[in-house]
Amino acid sequence: MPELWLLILLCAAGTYLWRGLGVLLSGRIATSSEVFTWITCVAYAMVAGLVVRIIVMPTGLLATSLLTHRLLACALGLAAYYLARRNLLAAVSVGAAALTILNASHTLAG
Amino acid sequence: MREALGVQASVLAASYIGFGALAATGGVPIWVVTVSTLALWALPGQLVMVEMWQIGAPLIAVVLAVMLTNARFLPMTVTLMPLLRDRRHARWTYYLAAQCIAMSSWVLSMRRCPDMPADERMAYFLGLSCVILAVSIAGGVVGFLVADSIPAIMQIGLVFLAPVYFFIFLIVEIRSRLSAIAVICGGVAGPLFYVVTPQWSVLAAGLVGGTAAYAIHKFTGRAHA
Repeated sequence: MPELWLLILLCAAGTYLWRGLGVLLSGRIATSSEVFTWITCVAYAMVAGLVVRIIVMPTGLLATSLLTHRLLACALGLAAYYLARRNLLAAVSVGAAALTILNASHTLAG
Repeated sequence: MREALGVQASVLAASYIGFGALAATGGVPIWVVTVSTLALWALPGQLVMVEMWQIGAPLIAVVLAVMLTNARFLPMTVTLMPLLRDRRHARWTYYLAAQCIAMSSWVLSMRRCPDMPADERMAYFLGLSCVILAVSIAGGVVGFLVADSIPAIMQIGLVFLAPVYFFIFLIVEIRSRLSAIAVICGGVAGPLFYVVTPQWSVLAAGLVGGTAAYAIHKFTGRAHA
């Protein structure tokens, strides 16, 4: 599949463009500057925006599940994180299992 | 190094198992899972690429979407590089390190590196990245190979592994007041911009949400965090 090779190559180049540009620009911005603080804000906001969007408005297979189920699964995962003494693996396992069970029971009942 | 070898790596492995399974069930060859992990090294971008390829989106549309999804690497690299900088490192080292930046390695290094001597940070970051990368590639292959034995009803949980991981990771790993405000602003802006312009939503949410967070932080004064 030659088009898949080309696709990965272009996507990788497009992704590395940001990383390489980041190295170039980093030398020109002091870590204590206001611009630096602003860029940190943009980075966190961008990552958070993407993650919340995927959970609230997913595409693909996740879009077949209910929003309430996904939110409930996230809440259960977060609760599991603290109940399991800050264990991220337990949190993610509970979150994924919760959505599987909620979705399966809903699909089978419907 | 403990956090790289422990829960962190198992969780990322689980996310890549989900990605591998998704590729297998969607008719994507196994080498795409491995090569894209090495070449893109960004799970959300890899998911976008594979999902759009499956529905037959035009090449340019996929590349643009992946680029916009991964635009966060610009500010992430700009903020991490000054921490890794040391006179002893060759210039190409920074360009190699840039390829290793992922959300997990970035958050951990942003948190740990300030407490380390400057000359040890690059070794820490590259070591951390190698472990996370190896585990992720293995996870993708395992996920792909076992996909056939996973019932369709189980797949939704596997696909949800990555989002729920990133969601909880952001909430529990963010320590400063400024980044907490930025996460909230971005989290609100992300879905809002997606409604208006899906292709540009990641970039717009980051720029608008991040600028709003900066303004809020600036004008509400800094209480002791």
